[in-house]
Parts: sequence; structure tokens; C-alpha cells
Amino acid sequence: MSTWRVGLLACYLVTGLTINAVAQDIAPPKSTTAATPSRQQAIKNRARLRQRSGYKRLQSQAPTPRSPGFTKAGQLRRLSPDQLWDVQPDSTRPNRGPFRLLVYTGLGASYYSAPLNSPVALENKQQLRWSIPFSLRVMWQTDHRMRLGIETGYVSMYSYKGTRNGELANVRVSTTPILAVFSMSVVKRFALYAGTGPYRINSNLEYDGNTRGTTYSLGWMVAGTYTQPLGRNIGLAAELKWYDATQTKDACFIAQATLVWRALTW
Amino acid sequence: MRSVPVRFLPLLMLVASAAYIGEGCRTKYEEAVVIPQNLNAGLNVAGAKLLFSQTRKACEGVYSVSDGADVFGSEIAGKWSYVVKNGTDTTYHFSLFCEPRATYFVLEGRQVADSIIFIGYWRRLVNADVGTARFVVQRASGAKALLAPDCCQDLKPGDVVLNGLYGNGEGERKYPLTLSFNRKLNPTPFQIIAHRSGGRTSDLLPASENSVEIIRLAPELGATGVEFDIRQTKDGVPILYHDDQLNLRQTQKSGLIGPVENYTYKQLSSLVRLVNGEQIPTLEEGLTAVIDDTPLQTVWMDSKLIQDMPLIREIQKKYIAKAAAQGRKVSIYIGLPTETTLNQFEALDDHLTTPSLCELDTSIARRINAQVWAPRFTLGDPVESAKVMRAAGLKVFVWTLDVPDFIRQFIDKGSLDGILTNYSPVVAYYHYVQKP
Repeated sequence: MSTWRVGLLACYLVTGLTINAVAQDIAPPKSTTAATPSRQQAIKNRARLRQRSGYKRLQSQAPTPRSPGFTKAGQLRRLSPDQLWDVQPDSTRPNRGPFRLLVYTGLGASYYSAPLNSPVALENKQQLRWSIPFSLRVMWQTDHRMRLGIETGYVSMYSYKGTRNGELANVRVSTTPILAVFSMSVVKRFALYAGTGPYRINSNLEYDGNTRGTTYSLGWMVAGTYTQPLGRNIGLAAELKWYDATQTKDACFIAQATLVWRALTW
Repeated sequence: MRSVPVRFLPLLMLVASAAYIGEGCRTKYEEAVVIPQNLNAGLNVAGAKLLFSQTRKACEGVYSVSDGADVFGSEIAGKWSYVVKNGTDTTYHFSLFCEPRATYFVLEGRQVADSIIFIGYWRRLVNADVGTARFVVQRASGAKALLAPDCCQDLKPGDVVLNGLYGNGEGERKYPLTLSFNRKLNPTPFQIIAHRSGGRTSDLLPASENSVEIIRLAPELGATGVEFDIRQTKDGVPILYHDDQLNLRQTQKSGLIGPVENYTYKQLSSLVRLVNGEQIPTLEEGLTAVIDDTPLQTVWMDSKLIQDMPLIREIQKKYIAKAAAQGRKVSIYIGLPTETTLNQFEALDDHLTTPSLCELDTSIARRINAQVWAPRFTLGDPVESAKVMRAAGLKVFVWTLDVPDFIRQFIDKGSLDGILTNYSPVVAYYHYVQKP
């Protein structure tokens, strides 16, 4: 990859993060209005939560009607684990946090979508593009909108078999992505993910013996999730994902169910 | 400011960047240049005859360009070659080598009535420009002399004129190109050695690098020799393959990846095809193509990863004998690029009498009694060392030289016996137009 491409990526990142920071308008100070009884209870609950998480809330930070943790009616908004940035203080404040670690584990179906031409020398060829992928993603949820994390997993991308002079040949190709992932919540419960990094590509040939091969292919991914909260620290997400291992021209589309677990808070 | 599009922006930029970078890494080797086909239709007319060998020989020379000099340069070198297909079908090609942008023509010729017609294609190796061309030598423009039974001892400048038209792509030939015989080719012996058995896949040639098909194509590109990249499969079969991995730069997608040495020859021959669909050839298939199908004179067997040097030596001996039996003078050298291969080579009982090409320093080349010393041109000007080595009876080839200015400088100095290059037409042009 040429230097100017890396420079362009860095430029994009810096610009994007700057715009993102500017985009977070600070709530204008307003006079504290009398809180309803239900809201007072909510404030107490919230304070207890923060004490449990070890986060020290400043006494001067009185909740305001515009606090995004509440509905317009003053009720505590029920949020998915994927939407927790919404209830956090603005990152421009001097005190930072809370920070969280979210773990995503997914299982579903994948379809190998890149062109696949099995060798012309084979007869009675059969191809299989579907598989059951597994993925694991760990995201650091900052007090900013953009989250950072890593993703890995296992996708059996495709396989084919056929005969050559009456002898069966069987080829299976799989990948393990090792990706740096960035994500943002878009609207309530929806989040987008993008990542880049190497894919470890594995092949297994059964013909004239058994031969395994491995190579690394630089690539990227994009994904979108909708998360339905199941509890305070657990949610279930529907996830659509595209893996693209560019150097080896491998790509697959994945639809999977993902369990979201808020593992740590500090 | 908190609108959804603004929220999206950083992530969208990230996605776009990741996709752009990823796409930038995608290989482009599938974008082959389509060489115009069915050109023979213009030659296979009633009464057309193949050219006599003396006529072909007389056509060879340096031509001055009048019409078309702005595109193809002021001089063009014309040289014949041949390729044998299916063991018996010999086709002769008249190649023209130009100075600008590694341009070359590949033409076939026929006698039609009292004229000579050439039809073929032209190509620039440095890009995807391609087109067709047609030349006529009329009776009054030299065909009478060329077709005479006693042709042609002493052509003078202007005795033969090729009046031609060329076109771009498959388009109509409408641009004039006129060539006028100026002088004979430079007769100094010189080896134009084509890298990777003829040319690189990345130069979008019609055959893949290190294939039998590119070996057969090499003479049309101006090569007088080829360099093979030799590796051995898991079961010890020497094959022609450059990289240490099966990859999409050289092969079609098959799902097989990893070191080529991990696979048996049966696996590779059954399941792996080179980018243009060819089978990975064995060393013996490559040498057979050189000796049986082409006029190539030199084979540089670059030992990329050899496990069994005695086997390579046996194959070398076998094909030197085969060439001699056919009356062919083909020099087949075992290339020694590393200390490892040098040690393997020195373990041979007869290494002092084995034709070898040493890429290491001059003292090693002398110690092993190499026939060729081949320094890398980027290590500095080899001219002084080359003089010493040539005085000691060794030939000197440099590798891998593709820059036209350097090629011209090395040829002008006259201190080399050959150049290994990815651009045979460029070396051919500078060598053949040089005045002795």
C-alpha cells in the first residue's frame, strides 16, 4: 500500500473525528426546573448505578431536561447496550467516562459472493458457497460517539469438489479475519461498523494427499446492526455484514444473530 | 449539527477509505490486452506464397521512418523469428522494434503477385496501446530485388520501401507509416535475454510469465534467450514458477494457496492454471519448447529454490545433448543467485565443467569456472569488472535492465555480452540499430 493512501486514511480519520467533535453541541445551561417524582427517582437510580460502576459523578452536574437519558416526558429512556453513548456526559467536559467494554458474539449464515471458477480440468464439479460463520468482536465504548475494537471469527467461505481421472479432489477455503473495527450509533439501536486489517486465508486440498496452505490478505469489512435490549447488560442484535479480503479477491455476505454483552464498565 | 448525516460522516469516510485502500490493493492482472485476431485473412488470398528464406533474410535491417516518425520514432529495426506449433507447423514473424515506449510490431509476410505484403499487429509494452498494421512492398519499391532468385547481397539505402497503414485497436488502418531500408542490423553477437521466460504477466502479454506459450512468444518480442525461474514441487519435479507462493499475480483463483513447494506436481497440474489459463510447465517442458519450437540461443535457469541440484544437472546435460543432436547451438546455464545454490552447485562432482552463470562476485565466478558472470546492474557500473572477466574468457550479462537510457548506455559501451530484461523490444532496438 502506498504511503499516500495511508496519509489519505489518516487525513480522513482526523477530519472525521474533528467534525464529530464539533457536531456534539453542548447543552446550553438552563435553570433547573422542579423535577417530577418519577424523575427524582430516576436520578437516584442513575446515581446508584454510577457509584456501582466506580464512576464519580460531580455534584455540580445536575441533570437537565435535555439530558439525553430521559424522554421528553421526563421518563428514563430505555436504551439498548448499543446506545449507551446516549446517556453519557459530553466528551468536551473535563471529566471523562464512563468507559465500557462490549463483547459481541455472532452466529449465522454466509454466502461467498466473489467469482468462483473451479479448475477446468475437474469433472463432475460441485461448489458450495454457503456456510455457518462465527464472529467475535470486542468494542471499547468511549464517551465519544466512535467506538474502537477488534473483530475475529471463522468463516468457511467456499468449497468445491470434482474428479480428475476418476480421483476425487476436494478443496475447502476458510478465513479468520483479524480486523480493527470502528463503529458509530446512527439512530436508536442502530449502529454501523467499518474495519480493516488482514484476513488469514486457509485452504485445504484433498487430492494426491492432503495439503494445507495459509496466506494473509489485506481487506476490509462493513456491518450494520439493530440491537434489541434484553436486560441491563445484555442485548440481541441482528447483523448484516460484508467481509472483503481484497488481495485474494475473496468476499462474503453474512447475516447473523449477535449477542451483545456489556462486560465491563469503569 | 446533530443531524443524522453529520453523525454518519466520520464513519462513512472511514468506510470509503477502507474500501478505497482495499480496492487499491486489488490486482489488475486480469486486464489482458486483446491482440487483434484473424489478421491472416489478409494474407491468405489466392496466389499468396510464403517468402523464400533469402527474401526474409534480406528484409532484416534498420529502416528509416518517414510517415509515422512522430509515433514510432525515426528508425525501426526489423528482424525475423520463427515459432513451431504442433511439432511441424513453422510460422515466421517479422518483428519491428521501435524506440518510443517499447513499441513493437509482429507481422507475417506473403508474396502476392509481384509484391510483398506484411500484415500484423503492433503493441506498446508500457501500456495497453495496440493496433493493426499492413505494409506493401511493391515491385518498384524493392519487391523485384527481394523476390529475385539471387536476392540480395548488397541492398543500399532506399532500395526497399514498406508503404504501410496502421490503426488503433481493431479500428480501421488509416494512418500512414512508411519505412525505407537504411542499413543492415548490427551484426555484433549479443544476447537479449527475456525475464521470466519471455515477459511479465503484469505487462499484459497474451501469455503468462513462465509458461510454454510465453517461451514461444519470446523471439517475436526480440529475445534471443530466456531466463527460467526454477522451483521444485513437493515430489521433486522442477517447474517454472517465479514467486514463492501460489497467488493471484501468477495463477487463476483455485483456492490453493501457500508455498508452491508444498504441492505435488500432480496437484498443481490438475488444479492450478496460470493467469492466462496455461498449465505450470516443468523445466523439461520449457527446455523442449526452447529447442524444438524457437530459435532461442540461451537459457538462464535461475535456481529459485532447488532441493536436488544433481537432478537439475542431469536435465541440463540431457537438453544440451538434445540441442546438439538437432544441430542447434543452445547455451543452457545453471544460474547461481545465492550462497545456498552455490554450495549445492559446488557439491556436484563435475561442477567445474558444468555450464553455469554466477550472480555472485567475480572471485566466486572464477573459482567455479562459470561461463557467465551476471552482476545486478543496480550494484554499480560493471564495465571495468566486465572487461576483466571478459579478458578471462567469461561472458558478462547484467540483470534486470528495463530503463531505456541505461540500456542504450550499456550497449554503446560495448562491454557486455547480454542483458536480461523485461522489455526485450527495447534492448533489441538499441542493439540492432547500433552502428558497429
